[in-house]
Amino acid sequence: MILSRRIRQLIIAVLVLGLPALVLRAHARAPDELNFVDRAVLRASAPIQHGLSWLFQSVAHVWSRYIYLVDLRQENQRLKTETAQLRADLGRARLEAARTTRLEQLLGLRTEVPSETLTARIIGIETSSMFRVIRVRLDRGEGEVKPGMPVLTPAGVVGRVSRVFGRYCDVLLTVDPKSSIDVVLPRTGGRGVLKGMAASNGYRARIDYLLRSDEVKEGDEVVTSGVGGVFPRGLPVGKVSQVGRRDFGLYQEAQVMPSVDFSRLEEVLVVLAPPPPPDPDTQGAQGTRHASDPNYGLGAPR
Amino acid sequence: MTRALTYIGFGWLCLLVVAAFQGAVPLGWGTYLAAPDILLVVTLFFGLQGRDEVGTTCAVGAAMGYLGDLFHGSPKGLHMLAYALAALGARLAASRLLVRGWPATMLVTLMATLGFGALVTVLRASFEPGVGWEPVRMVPMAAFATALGAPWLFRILERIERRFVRDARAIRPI
Repeated sequence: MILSRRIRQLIIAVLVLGLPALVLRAHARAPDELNFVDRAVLRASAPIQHGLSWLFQSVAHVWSRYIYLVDLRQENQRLKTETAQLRADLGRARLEAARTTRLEQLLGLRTEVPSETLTARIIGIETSSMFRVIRVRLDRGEGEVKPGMPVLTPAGVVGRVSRVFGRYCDVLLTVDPKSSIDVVLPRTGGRGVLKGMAASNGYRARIDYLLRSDEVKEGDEVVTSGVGGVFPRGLPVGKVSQVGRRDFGLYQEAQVMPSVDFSRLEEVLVVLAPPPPPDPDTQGAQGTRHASDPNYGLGAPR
Repeated sequence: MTRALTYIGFGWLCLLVVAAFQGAVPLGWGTYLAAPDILLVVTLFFGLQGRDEVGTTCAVGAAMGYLGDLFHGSPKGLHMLAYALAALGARLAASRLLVRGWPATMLVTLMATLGFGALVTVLRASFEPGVGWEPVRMVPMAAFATALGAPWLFRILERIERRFVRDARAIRPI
């Protein structure tokens, strides 16, 4: 009886350990697919996460106001109340101004991007330090967003949609090691593939396959090349922060500091459709990829 | 069964809280690097109790891992396998390892998190060849953060465990 119970438990353990291996294999075939259970769990989680996010934000606001009052305790009551009120008003006005600026920038980007876009709000950040994923809530357009769609801010490229569940989706950031984007350096015309780095000193990325003959310098701007049809051409990605050129080999190494501050993201734009294919006439006339070209950084006219 | 579901529910709630906190309070990248692996602590505690059979413990580990996969943005099955193995390891160590006091809790959690991080990196590298070994550099900081938070989380888990065990002395870690 005891033996059979042990054997039964052993079989359960083997099955439980074998199941993830099968799931991993299935995931490798269709990485973006969510089954019924996944969707149910995520749909149940997202509103709670949204609520908790709102709660933490409110607590943070209350806390910061309390600190203001403690700092002013030494002054008399009237001035304290008045100052606190004015500071609170000023803070609110600044927040409103910052929000307006952000929205204006988003609106500006929206008109620049040659595709339809949706705005989304960040509600959660990855809970593991080894993955660079954020969770966003779409303002509208449930069902229109699909995995692989690019995500942007006025500062530059954020990443691409990895999973979608209702009004919520996960975004794989450009600094995740799994992410790869075809990029170009406008100053030199050099081209490579931007890959995320799991750097211990923050959000970093590197450019692979950058020819050694390209005279890349620190501070060089890095933008999307438009190759691959996912990201529109000419979107800022970051700046070269470190260059490692060896005496041999075909390629050089270049580290990139992203132009987007991922730790302070609040709203993003999801580009719904891939950008239109580049105009062959314009391409032919262009010949180079230098930023001085008038057509550089713009998608083909719609 | 209720006990296992309670632990899974608690792990899910912890994940939601951590994700929402990190999303709502922009404290900079340092907080992401030092994000404690709360699910692993819950899994370790559950396994170290040694109260359930090996199969049940593995199943709870796999369930925790499933939630981890959904919230970490990792490939589905990666954390399922890793957490199931972690639960199995904790269950097998339960009869040989007595975790008592804060230093021991922190030490055991630190070692377990380091090992777990290495395991996840190896699994990820084998299933996602393009990613490579770089993520292993993030493991020590996360392990330290997890070890620092583990004694507090163990206290909470002990309270949960008391609801299922009448004799409080039977709860292994303190």
